[in-house]
Amino acid sequence: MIEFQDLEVRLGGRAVLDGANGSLPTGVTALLGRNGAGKTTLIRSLSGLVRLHAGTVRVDGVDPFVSHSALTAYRRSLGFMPQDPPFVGSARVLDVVRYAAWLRGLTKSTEHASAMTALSDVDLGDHLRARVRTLSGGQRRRVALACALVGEPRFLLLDEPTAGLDPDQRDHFLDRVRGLAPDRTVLVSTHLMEDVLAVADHIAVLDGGRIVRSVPVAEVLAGTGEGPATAMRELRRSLLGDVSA
Amino acid sequence: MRVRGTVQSPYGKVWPFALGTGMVAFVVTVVKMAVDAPQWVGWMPATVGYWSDVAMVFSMVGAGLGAWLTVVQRQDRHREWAAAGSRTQWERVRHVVLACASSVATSMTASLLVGVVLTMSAGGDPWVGLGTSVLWWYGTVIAGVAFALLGALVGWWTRHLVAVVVAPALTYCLVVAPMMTLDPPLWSGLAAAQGLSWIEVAPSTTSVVLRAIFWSSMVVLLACALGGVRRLQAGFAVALSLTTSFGMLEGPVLRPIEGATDVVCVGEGPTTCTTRPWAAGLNRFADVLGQGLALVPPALAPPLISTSLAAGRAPEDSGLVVEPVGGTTAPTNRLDRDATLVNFGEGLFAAECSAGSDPLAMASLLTWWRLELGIPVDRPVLPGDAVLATILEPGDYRVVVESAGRMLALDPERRLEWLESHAEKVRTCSLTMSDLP
Repeated sequence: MIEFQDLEVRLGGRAVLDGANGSLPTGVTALLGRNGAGKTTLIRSLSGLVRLHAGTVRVDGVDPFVSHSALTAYRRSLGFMPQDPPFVGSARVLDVVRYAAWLRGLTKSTEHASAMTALSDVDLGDHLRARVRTLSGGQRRRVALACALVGEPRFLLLDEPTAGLDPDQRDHFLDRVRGLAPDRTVLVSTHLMEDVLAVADHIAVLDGGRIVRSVPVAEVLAGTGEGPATAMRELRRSLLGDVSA
Repeated sequence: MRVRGTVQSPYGKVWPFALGTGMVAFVVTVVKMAVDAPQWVGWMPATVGYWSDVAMVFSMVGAGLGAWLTVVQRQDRHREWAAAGSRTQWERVRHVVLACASSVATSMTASLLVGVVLTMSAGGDPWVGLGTSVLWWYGTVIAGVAFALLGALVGWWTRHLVAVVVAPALTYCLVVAPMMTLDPPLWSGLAAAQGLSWIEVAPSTTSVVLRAIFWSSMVVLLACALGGVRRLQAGFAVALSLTTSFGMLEGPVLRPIEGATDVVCVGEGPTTCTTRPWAAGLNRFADVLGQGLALVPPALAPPLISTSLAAGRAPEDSGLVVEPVGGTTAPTNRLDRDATLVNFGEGLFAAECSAGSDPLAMASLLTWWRLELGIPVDRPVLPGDAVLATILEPGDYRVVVESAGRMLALDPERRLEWLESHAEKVRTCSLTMSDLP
């Protein structure tokens, strides 16, 4: 479990996170919020990519930023998928994922097998030798997911992973994420309610740099007593609508 | 599919880049050796002579490769993605540096082995230059690591592909400055090694402090680059580097190639001599000289002509010294007829003359010599060759051309008689315009 308390991050003098509190239990947590709400900053904060001005993060009760060795250990168990994957177009798919494995700290003996497993998990096992520039947008997203998955990290932070995908690609992608979730802690930032319904066990709503709602999806759905479409509308209204009110 | 090795670059595996660069450098080295080899007794001396260029070129290549492989890691999106991994920035740079350095080391080793094998197959003595070659191998690999690291740091700092140009340029300045400016004897000794059949490099005159700073910094950079390697390997590498650096501090000292200073001669009246490394071109040299000798009477023909490389002979015993010239290269076994004959003419008519001689008379004689042998007078044919039309006043130039034309128009027998009757004046540089036909 990842817990965070009173997170405060200032960028350009503005408080992007302003006392955010919350926890990420095992399973998929959907991080909802409007553009600029601080979703990406929260994910970067939990990855240790931005300096916290205040607050603490605890991973299984331990502060991962307390020392270099603790941070290294944490990052070995952390898969991160940025909004815009930064791959070199001329690189081959397998090499990209193997590089991600190396960055994760995997040993030479496990690097190759781990990359193959991760690519197989995202159905790219037949594109190993393809160059990244020849892939579709959806396939590149899956490469990025494979990079996040390589080495089977316990924690996955996925920043708007379905942005730019068509409905079929999104469904396929979310199926993959759903299949990974049971024994992992996954945080998926999104502003698509369809994503929430498809994969999330929990919902956290971020607004003004704070977590303003944190509830299990089942609880929200049970409260509406309607079908999924209505549930989605109700969900949007009850969560984001309430936030804007 | 089985893929060996780790992938430590956003471009994918580094080794294809390193191997490709190493292969190009190796091919260039071997081609250069092949071109130079005919002038040598075996290949190794040519290899030794080439090492200084190799050190510079490989260092620049390593720096450029290091910069290129690093820049992409610093571009914003990639930097964040990579930073989320457990590898430190230093680890990411170090692996790039080691890959670049391995390309330098591999190609250097391959070049060295080719030199040894070809020297042995040609019946030469590979041990002549081996010690120094190995020393240069160490030096170049150290420099390769250091400058690949420099390139990586430039790429890291600039975050822009301009680093791929800046890093080699910076390396050029850092390599050439110490070698040319700080240590001229070492540099000139090695430069001379490319043209001499035996080499003796003078002890360095650069202060011990400066040399120590330069080579120590190289070793420190190497030690940094190897920081994560197992302690025993790193210790061995650093010890080796320190030993090499100590050797480089004093500069390599080569012994002469056995037999390379032996004098080889052909013909009589005159006899043409050179040293053994140049013997392959001696007959051609004598033939070219013969074309000029046919124009002068025996009174002007020297009894002995030797190349300036007839080492071991006292100057007075060397006869007339004529350096074999090939294009812009001297000495050479690939003779340029025109350039060599111009050299010969100047030696024959003007070698001993000072500023006191009549310059127009001398110019007339040399112009006739070129016209008679079909050598252009309106363009230089060897380095430093002056075109008369550009250095003489128009009036003087006309006078020179006219008197050379009169010489040319003379019947060959009549001209030989004239040259014989004025041989003493030519030898003593007292020929004047009034003496000319």
